[in-house]
Amino acid sequence: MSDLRLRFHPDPILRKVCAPLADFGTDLQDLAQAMLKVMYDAPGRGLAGPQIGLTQRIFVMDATWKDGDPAPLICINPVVDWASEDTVPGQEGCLSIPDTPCLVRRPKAIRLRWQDAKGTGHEAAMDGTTARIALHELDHLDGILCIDRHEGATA
Amino acid sequence: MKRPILLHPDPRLKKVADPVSDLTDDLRTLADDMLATMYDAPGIGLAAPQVGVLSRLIVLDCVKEEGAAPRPLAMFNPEVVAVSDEISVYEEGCLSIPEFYADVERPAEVTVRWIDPDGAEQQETFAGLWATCVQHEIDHLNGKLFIDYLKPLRRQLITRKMVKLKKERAREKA
Repeated sequence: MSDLRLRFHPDPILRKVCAPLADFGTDLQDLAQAMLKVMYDAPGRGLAGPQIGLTQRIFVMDATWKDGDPAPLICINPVVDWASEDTVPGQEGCLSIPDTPCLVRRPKAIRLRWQDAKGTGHEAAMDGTTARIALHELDHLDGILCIDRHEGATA
Repeated sequence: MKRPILLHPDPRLKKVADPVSDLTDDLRTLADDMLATMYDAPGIGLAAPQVGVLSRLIVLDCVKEEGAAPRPLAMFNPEVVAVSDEISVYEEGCLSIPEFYADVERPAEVTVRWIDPDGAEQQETFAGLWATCVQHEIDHLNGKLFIDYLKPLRRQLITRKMVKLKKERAREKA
């Protein structure tokens, strides 16, 4: 039996560049729901494919559920179309690297394009925590972890 | 030594496995190989038919906490001797059906009797993930997969996708 267990740094799968997802079926919906469950259970605000051993370009996130306002998002084949030149440092944690807060500088705002579990295209402007989480998860799909971007400056 | 895991659909995954009558060194080696294969996959359980051996042998280790001591179990001729009325639902996956997950209802607790690698009879009551996993693995010994609990349409869809996946993997190897 297999299950969707979280992978922890330095698991080499976290360093893989993920392949685009082309095959959309009911199983993707299930997979995405399963990933959201793992994320909420963790508890976290984002979870990317490699973190559960899947090297495909999929992540799930929910920037606001911890404030009592759940907004689950399933992002497949995400692409950043635009990122602000303005960057801002912020504290990040990663479910795969417990108890290791990182200070990471990221664009303040982005425009993200992605597909949902049915393959339908979406596009949205994101800023603040939402943009930060999306960029953190997108990094996972390219084998990049927040510890790689940690500035080590005073938080 | 790791062994290749059979992928669904495969006729060997649909057969009822034979009871182990003589606990040989070969079978003990098989149990060790299956544990190595399972940890490498990674998985939390593996049944002998999944590595192409039609004997009633399963291995499992459902310790999930990071840093906790592993608990590898090898069970020859495992048998469910009692089940709870209480049902639990778990999102199951199978190393022979990679990347598909589905909710399966099973008794929340089961008492299992088996022969350990030293030939001693063991009995234990399992709950939680252990209960789900041991039932999932014993099902394999009876030619049953977790997708057999799903609605036919869903099962057929998964099987079609698996046929495709197997073709792709065969091409990669070629």
